[in-house]
Amino acid sequence: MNRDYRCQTDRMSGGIPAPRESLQQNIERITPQNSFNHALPVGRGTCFDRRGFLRWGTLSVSLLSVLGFARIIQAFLSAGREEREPTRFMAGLWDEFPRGSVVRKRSIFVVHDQNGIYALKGSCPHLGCGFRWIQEKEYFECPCHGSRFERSGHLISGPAGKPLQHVLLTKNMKNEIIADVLKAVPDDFRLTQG
Amino acid sequence: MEVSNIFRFRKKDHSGIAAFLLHLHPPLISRERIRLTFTFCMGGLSFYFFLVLLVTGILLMFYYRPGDGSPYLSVREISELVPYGNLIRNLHYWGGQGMVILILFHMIRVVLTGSYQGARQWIWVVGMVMLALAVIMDFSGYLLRFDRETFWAGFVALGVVKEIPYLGEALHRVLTGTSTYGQGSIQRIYLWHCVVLPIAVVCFMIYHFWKVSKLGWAGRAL
Ligand code: FES
Repeated sequence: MNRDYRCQTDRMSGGIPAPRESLQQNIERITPQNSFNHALPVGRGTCFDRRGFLRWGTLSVSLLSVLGFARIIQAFLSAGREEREPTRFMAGLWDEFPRGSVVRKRSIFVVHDQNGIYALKGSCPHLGCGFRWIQEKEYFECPCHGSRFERSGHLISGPAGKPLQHVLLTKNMKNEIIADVLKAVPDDFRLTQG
Repeated sequence: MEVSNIFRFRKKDHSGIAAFLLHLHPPLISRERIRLTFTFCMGGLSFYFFLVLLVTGILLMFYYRPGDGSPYLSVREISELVPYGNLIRNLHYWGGQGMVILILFHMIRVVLTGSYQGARQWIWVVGMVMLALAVIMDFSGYLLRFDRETFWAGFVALGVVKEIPYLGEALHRVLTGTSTYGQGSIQRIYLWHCVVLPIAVVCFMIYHFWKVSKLGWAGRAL
């Protein structure tokens, strides 16, 4: 028991370990008012008793792990969503979308086929990445995990489990085409020139 | 039986946080029962797991979307797109499984050492309730993932609830807010999982710990 409190013993008995005592006496002896001053100066430098050492050890290790975890939390919480695109906007005039073309307008693709004009939502139904139209290959391809979609929005392949979403297009008085990204429409929806 | 003041201090020397922490310790405890091999610290470890679940759970709430979008998609986002998301999610998942297992072992230990008897019986009863709550929380968390597997798990489990004579239908409605289990139920399941059940568990815990510390840790009344 005495070896754990060498600091006190050194100070109190000049380095000679005290003889083994009963527990009760021992408690009395090592419990003076200052028993919580764990760092006791002995000669040069500082001496910790066992409890002091464990206390500072635990404290600094916990502090380190808290700091490490704070960094992880900071990274975790910093994946915020970017500023949202407007959900209703003017996509353009009829002539901007010649037959056979696929044109990106903000968050949608405007496509013109033989039946008319329609719009596809430009975020991947898999995890929401923005994708592009590959003109040479004639399909949409998502850069994130490689989902592919036909011009019509049908799924060709990839982790996505759904086709692309068709969204509403309308014409206003000035013959401008207005897209409404939040209004889903069935995939046979077409806007015609009439 | 040798009983001693293992903390070797005088209370009057301390104030503030130190006094509060010391106050949580029972003043007297038998030497035999502070041996690690008496309890294996399993109650304390379960509580530690609970704290881990609390922290990681709150973090997950920043990204999880129980609403009309796709809950499953937000889970995929957490584990595939958010930095350290997979770590946090797995800590939460394995912490949950670990906590249930630890509580079970803790209860086995209590039975083997006979620590459920006498003045301690209500500690035991409250402990049983907390075990049930832990299992329910574990299961409801599993439902929140809402992929095909957990959809059917929830469909079956809540279908069983529905079959309870007389009360079933009403209970199903209260638990899920819907008459058939589906995506619309997730909002409710989410609230049970993240708010109501944890608060209930904390209340029971306060009683559990207070009583344990009052009667002396680990063992029959001294
Ligand atoms: S987000 Fe497009 S394939 Fe995964």
